[in-house]
Amino acid sequence: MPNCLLLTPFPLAKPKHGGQVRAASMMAAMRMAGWHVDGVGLFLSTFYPPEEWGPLDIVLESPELHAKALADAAFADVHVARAAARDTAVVDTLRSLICRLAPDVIHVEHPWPWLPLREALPSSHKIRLVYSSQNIEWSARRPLFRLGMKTATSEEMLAATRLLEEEFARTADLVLSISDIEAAEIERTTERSVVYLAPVSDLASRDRQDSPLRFIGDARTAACRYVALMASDWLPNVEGFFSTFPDGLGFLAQDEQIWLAGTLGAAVRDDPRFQTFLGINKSRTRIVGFVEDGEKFDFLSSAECVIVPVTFGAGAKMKTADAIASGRPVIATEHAVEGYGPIVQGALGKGVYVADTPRAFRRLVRQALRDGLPGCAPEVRAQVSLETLSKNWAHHANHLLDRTQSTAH
Amino acid sequence: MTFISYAQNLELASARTGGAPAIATLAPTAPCVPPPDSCCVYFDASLILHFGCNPPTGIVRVEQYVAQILAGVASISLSFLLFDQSIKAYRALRPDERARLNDILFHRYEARKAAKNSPSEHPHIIKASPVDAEKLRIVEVRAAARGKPARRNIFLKLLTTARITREVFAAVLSERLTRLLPVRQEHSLMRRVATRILRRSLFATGRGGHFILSRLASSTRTLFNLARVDAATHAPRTVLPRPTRPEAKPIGAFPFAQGDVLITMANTWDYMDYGYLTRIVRRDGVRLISVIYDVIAMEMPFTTPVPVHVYHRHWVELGHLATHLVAISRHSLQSYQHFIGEPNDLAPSMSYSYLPNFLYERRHEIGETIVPSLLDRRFVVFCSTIEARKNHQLLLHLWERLRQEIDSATLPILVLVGSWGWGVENVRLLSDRNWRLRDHLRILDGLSDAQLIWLYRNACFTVFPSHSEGFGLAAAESLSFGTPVVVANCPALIEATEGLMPAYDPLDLPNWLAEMRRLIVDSSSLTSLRRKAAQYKGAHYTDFAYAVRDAILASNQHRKASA
Repeated sequence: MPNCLLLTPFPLAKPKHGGQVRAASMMAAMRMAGWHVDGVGLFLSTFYPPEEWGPLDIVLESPELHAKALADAAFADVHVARAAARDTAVVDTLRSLICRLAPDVIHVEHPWPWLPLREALPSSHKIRLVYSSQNIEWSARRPLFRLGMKTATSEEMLAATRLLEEEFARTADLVLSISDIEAAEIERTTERSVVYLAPVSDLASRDRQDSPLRFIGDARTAACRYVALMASDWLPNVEGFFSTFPDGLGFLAQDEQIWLAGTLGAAVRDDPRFQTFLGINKSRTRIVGFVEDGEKFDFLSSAECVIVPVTFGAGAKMKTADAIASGRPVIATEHAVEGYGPIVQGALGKGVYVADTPRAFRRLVRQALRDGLPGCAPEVRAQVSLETLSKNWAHHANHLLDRTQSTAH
Repeated sequence: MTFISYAQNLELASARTGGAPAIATLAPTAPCVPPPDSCCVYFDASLILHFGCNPPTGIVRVEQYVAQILAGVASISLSFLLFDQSIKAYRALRPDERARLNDILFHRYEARKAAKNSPSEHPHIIKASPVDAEKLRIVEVRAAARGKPARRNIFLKLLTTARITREVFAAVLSERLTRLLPVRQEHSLMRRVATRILRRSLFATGRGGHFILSRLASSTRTLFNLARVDAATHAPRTVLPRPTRPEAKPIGAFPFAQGDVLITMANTWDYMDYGYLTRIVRRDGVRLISVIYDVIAMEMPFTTPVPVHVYHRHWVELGHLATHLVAISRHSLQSYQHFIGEPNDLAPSMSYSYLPNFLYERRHEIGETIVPSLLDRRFVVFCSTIEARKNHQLLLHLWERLRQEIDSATLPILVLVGSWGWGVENVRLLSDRNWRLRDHLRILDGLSDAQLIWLYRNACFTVFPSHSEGFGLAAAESLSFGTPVVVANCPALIEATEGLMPAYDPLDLPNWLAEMRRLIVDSSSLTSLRRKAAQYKGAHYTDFAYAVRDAILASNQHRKASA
């Protein structure tokens, strides 16, 4: 059984944010393809609670580093990765782990762990390196500057991030990208081929009939139809909500609501922009809070449509995959479906609806609530399934191993 | 079921002839049975009853006028309802409320009429009488109507208090205490200190009370919500909960029938349950007709007493639910479309019509009463609630400048007519502390309509420097009496004055100063402006009410056509 070490800049025991979910999906896909996978997270202790840590994780403890990372939040990952690469204890631990686990492939999510890994790799090794890109990180940082995250060293950090990404992309034996557009961009800058592996959602394999019916019951009790929005309180999600609905939710009738799941709900509710139109906004929303994995599908599939109003910021965009996987009509911004090219191409106007202006977005939402819109077809849902990811991963990883063996011969 | 149906009982003589309606009598009748080709129309009289026989201002005046006119339209069966906070629904009026409403709408000026026939004590003043008969009569009516409505007012006030934020409450309380317990230079030191201590103690107590009240209200809401969520989540998951039946009507709620028309012209944002309003429109098939006075809160959110979202919700809900909206000016209609319609993709059927000059149209009925303190004095009037939006501040600065420039005998008295509103800390400072201006400033509250007419007739000219208006009735009223008015250049005021009068930016003090100086010292300028004022036509008395009537009849026609 081929052996893979999955190196991530976060723990994987309880995946929450998009990056973690993507990495967890990769792990599940590898296992589905018959690989043995060990996950190793390399992160700062204060960023994730101990109950989320895995047994092989390498956890850095440093109040100074924590302060530094918070002070320069846009480049917190770079600061942690640099500190880890400089810390001999971290490098030694990683090196001994590699020796002990003897992986055929080291799969790295995000470019950050490459810094300590570069130090820990034996000088001569036959381990194949896979770089899995979830964003082109350097270009994703610039929009964060307008949210007040720019510091005196930001431009320098941006250049360093770019160098790091390009170096790793050139060094790795296989480069994966979560986005078709970014795959082409990495190919252009590094002059090497990049494999596009679309985001997936475990909801794609769920069936409405097996799902609990809590949310549809809630909607009936409240005598309303609802639009589902599930996201974290990550700043671009909050900004996306308010730039899509800048004038409040008065376009909805009394019995039409937007239900917000995840930490986004509280962040939106507490935002002054929500308070400006509080009367109408409160009557047109419901803050659902954290939705357990088991209820996610119920939440999304009971809605009249699922919306993904993200206008900037990077990320794994797992929200879009979940939305498509729910089978309900997906109303999203151009930015939200960016990177899903081959998947949404055929579904545009037939399950996936793109709107980039508040007016167009509102019109689609009303249409879904009042007249109904067709949802995503099973073949579209299938493209964001774990099975598809596993099949694609196996194809490329096995090819990588074959190449290793033929080189050895 | 008891409620009043006016149409079958009224003897309104001139409603459709263009003049003001004659006084009518009314008796309670059986439930509304519309004559053929007519429809049942229900009028929300909550605010009219709330204000009683006090001299009506703003919205209440418009409501009373529309109710009076519609009551005389034969093809409409007009009945009155009241929104009852305790059941969160409309209900029929009780006999005492009916009687009270009857007095308010149709017997307001009866005493005046009687007084008019008695010999005047001041024969040199045409139509003016120093005896305020109207006020005497109001006192009588008030005494008769004392009781439950007052208790409901306190309940409403408590509800509002519980809802407002700590900061807003503190601001309102502070303002009220400053007004009730003023600290003046002429007071002794001990009195000033004692007043301040008392003020602070009351402020602290008030805030404590507000905290308890708001927590109590919040806990009640939370408990209610928790109970609801609990009931919902404990439903068996494998079985779809039964679709909830539309909520049962509260006991005592008025049973609307399909096709009934509900007219609500009041400040319903203060009391309406929009869930209920949606239900009666969507489920019971009620056709809602309402009025848009303005959307100034959207335009200037810093000028309203409560947060903008309260009004915003009202306007949005109307956009969703109303069969037709009548705006009081073209500017109000366009502002509604711009600030509410477009951002919310709402395009309700709308029209606009100008408000009549109530005082002028009913001047014979109302009569005239002099304001003794202004007799034989030159004065300039600004009639409006004293609030931030109305820009009294500009006038007070202006008058101080004029005081320095013009001799005391020539400078007219600036008369501010209206009650104190909100956001007026600066106006209070400017008016209270500037003792030099005291001889040339009067702030008059609680004047009768008869006194107002006297003021309009006898003023040198009037002013209206408001930052924004939905129409600017006081400017139009002034012109109707032939008295010129200098206005701010906001579109509604230009409409109200038919573009005849000088208009300046409300922040342009130098130009206002120049215009005031001209009109005060140069009599030919004033005479020429009076000539222009004489060209004013004004809206026909029934125009606005008939716009509401037409909306009712059109919706009736539409309903018949659809059927």
